[in-house]
Amino acid sequence: MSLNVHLYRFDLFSLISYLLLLMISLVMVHSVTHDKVFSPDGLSYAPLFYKHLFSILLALVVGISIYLLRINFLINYSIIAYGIVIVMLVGLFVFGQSIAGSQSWYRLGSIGLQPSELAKLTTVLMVAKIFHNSHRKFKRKNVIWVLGVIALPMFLILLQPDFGTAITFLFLSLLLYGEGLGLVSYLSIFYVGILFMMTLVFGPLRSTLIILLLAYLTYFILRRYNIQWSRTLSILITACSLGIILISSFAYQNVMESHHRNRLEVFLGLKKDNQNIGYHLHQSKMAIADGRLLGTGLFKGPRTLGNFIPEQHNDYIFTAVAEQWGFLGSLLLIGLYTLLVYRVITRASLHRSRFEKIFSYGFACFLLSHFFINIGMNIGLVPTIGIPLPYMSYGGSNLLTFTLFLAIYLSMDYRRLSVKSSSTPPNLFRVI
Amino acid sequence: MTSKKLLIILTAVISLVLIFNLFNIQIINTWGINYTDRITIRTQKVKPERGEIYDRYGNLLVTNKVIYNLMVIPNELEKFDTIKFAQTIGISTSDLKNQIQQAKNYSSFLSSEIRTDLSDAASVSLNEKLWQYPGFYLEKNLVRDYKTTAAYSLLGYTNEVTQDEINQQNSPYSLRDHIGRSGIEKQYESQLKGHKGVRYFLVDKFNREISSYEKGEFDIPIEKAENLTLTIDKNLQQYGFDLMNDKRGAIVAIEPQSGEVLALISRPGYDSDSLQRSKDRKYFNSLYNDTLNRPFYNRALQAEYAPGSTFKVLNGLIGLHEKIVTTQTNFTCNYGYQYAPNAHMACRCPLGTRNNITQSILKSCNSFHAKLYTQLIDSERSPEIAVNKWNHHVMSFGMGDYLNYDLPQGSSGFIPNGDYYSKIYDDFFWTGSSIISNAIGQGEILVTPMQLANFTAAVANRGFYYKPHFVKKIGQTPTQFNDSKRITTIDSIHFGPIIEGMHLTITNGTARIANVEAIDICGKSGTVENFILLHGKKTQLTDHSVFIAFAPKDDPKVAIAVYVENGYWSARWAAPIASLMIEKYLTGQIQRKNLENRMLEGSLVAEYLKPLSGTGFLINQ
Repeated sequence: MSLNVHLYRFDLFSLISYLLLLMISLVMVHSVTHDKVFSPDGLSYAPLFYKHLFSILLALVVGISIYLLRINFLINYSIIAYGIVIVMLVGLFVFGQSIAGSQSWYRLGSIGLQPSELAKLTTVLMVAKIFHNSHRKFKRKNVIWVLGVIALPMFLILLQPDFGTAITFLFLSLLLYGEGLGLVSYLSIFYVGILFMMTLVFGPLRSTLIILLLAYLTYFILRRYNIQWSRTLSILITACSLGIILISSFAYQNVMESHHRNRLEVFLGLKKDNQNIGYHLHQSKMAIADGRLLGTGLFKGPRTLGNFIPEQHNDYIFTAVAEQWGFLGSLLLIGLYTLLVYRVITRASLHRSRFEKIFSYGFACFLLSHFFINIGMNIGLVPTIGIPLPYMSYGGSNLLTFTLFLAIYLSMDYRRLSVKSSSTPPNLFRVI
Repeated sequence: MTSKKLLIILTAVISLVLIFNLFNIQIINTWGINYTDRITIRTQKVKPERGEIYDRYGNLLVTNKVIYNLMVIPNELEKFDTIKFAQTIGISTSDLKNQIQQAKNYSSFLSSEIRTDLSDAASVSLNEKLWQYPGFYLEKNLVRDYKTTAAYSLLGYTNEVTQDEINQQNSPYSLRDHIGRSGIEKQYESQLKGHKGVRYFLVDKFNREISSYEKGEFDIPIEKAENLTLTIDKNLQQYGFDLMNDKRGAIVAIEPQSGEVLALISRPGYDSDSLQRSKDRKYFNSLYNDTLNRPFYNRALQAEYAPGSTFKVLNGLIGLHEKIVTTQTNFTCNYGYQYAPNAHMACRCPLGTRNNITQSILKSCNSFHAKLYTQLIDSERSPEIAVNKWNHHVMSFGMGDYLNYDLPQGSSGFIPNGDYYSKIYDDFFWTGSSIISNAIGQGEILVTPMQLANFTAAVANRGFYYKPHFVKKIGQTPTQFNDSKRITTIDSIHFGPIIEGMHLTITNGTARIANVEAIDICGKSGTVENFILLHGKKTQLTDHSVFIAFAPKDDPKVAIAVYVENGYWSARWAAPIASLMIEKYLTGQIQRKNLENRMLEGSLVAEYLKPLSGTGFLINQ
């Protein structure tokens, strides 16, 4: 095969986007950490850049190795991988190290591993495997299986507790769209979310009154148009709504951690606070606003230099880009992610095999959810839940996971155009 | 709709929502954030230390010192043991409570002073205990440190700026800055205060400095305050101050060859150091309300006295210049002079004494000068013309003039002219004998001790003087007085006989007490009748004692004027003080210890209390 053909087949665009993001990430992590002598906990910031560089190199090596694996291998071992990660998640409660109130890390010396990140990959593999096994006959039983496979790691992660990572698993339910779950299901989820927010904003008593009033009105409207089952339907929905309100109220008070409650309240505008809980958001918004159109210039952002934004190298790396490169920089970053996600979705739809297709969609779902929630919480659109920005944030586990996602995606994509899906692995080196 | 479509729509919606929000925040700036200024950039005013002041030999007169004020912010106060705290800071419990109440009345959120001017040692021990008392803190401030208490009359004093001065447009002052209120401190305020710098810098979230803002592009550099070198001789100033103990009056000493003021003493005075604490209004008020001693009244610069017989020197010079008399002219004196049918001016010369101009100075003969003056005034077509001519000569010696020296206080004195007398005498036909008091320096003439000293310097120089001034160098740059040389209207050949008379005054004449071996001093005594309005009646008080002198005779190094209020005759106080000053300045030591002690310990307080006794009193005892 000639080089041209290989270039055409290989999704070079995604790879270049990925490498570009990594380069921006390196520059930004450096800009955030280079002048900081010590962090508030007295830990040195200086090695962060080198650790990040090491993570990137490690991720590239592991990514290339995975790229070379056969797809069949992944299909066969996805259950085992899923099982191992579930065991690791359970093991966290015994051996895990607690950082910032969440027991979500294994630590070996200076290297930490976050199984919840790996769980994203294995869960997608597992879901793809279920789809693969079910072939075209997708039944309700399979839907429950899929939901169960998603819910298990999600539940374990919630227990750590790591609310943010758990939330991203919800996006995986998008995979079921058109495969057992209709629009009604998603609207129901949306409705539940609205009810939850309402309970928080108005309180359970007033929310109940609002629901009863609405139900009363709907009942009359439905009866007027002589829709069948109107009474039963209304009563059912109302009862469910009231139940959800009760559960929300209970869960909010008893299940959620106090810092989550605070963050939610600040986000919903129930609390005004620029110093404690709102401080993070306030500072990050200020930094982003400082950027203006062209930014302050690299290594010149006052808020970046001033160490105003806690965890800036981590979940708030976007503020560094927005402040130092301005609106154009943010646009570049959002553009890269959007095009990457779009690319993955469109190429995924070309797959005939369901395993590959669902896996790629899953990858897109996770990428999209992380990208949206992270930037959203940076600019105050989404409540503050600790979600890293893939390929940008400092942190090895996340980078490794998403690099593996990409490597597998690229490998599948390349082999889609090959004669057989189980043929010899493509030679990456020949391509590049 | 398939998964693909749903995901693509979701992706598009999410991207657009994010871009829209970022556009809002970054471009439209809906937040109204004023870039980075609000929080991260701090400004710091950098205050230069006030300039130091040195005397002519480089001895330190004024520098700066640190004092601590104990401040309170009432809103931050917690319950505390008032008795213990009051003991710690050394005031009574009720005082402390009062002060806190006053602070509360002023403002609960702003700081007020509880105690001012804590010494270094006291502040250190207090600072250790202060953590137990939230709401209190120590504030550091720089104030003046006066190394001499004798120089207030020319140095002046500083105190804290008032709110009005801070509020003025473009005011360089901020709270607790000090500003010169009088003397050199006021005159050279702009040089002494320097210019505050402003520094802009960025701080991190722990309020630690990270870097300067825009590499200091917008910083305003600090301009260091200038140190001043005065023309004053610190030792001479101190000595003059001591000599004037318990006396009212002034001493001014000038170097004739340059116009540099060597000493300027006015007593009674004040303590600059106590005055600079503006909160201590008690001291200021006590001075301000002392209408008898009038400590803020600078007698050396502002007091207008009659010059008395010292003025005969000038009248003699004018007589010679106008050829009214020559060195050969003799006038007879018979215990005085009958200048009008029933008016007689007494003199001490025995019957039939014939005096020439030199003898008239050394004997201070009233008759001679009365005759000279009447002939001078009557020599022209009208007395106005003659008085104007005389006035012109007198003014050329700096009399009746502010002299334009570099201190913010002063008086012009008064030298009458023809119009003045024409108005007074109106329809009356007046002649020289009408204004004959001017001949002996009484009458309408008023001069300040500064003018008297300056006039002496002009005589010492034989016909010119330099504008008197107090500052030799600003920083390292010598002060320039291009227009400072003033030439008098008297030809220099006429000074010889007068100066000879002044020399003989010391050796053989009225002021033999002022004679110092090895120094040729020239001087002229003066005893000035003076009156005040007491209970609505013009009452005569004991004469003022006046003396002018310069030395050495041929190469004058110092010219001095001494004025002692109600000191009786000249040789009693003024002449000895002047000669001691000259001796101190020229030789550095005093041989005549007895005289010195008499001057240092002599007190005129009893004399000053006489008009206050409410009963009749005798003068000139």
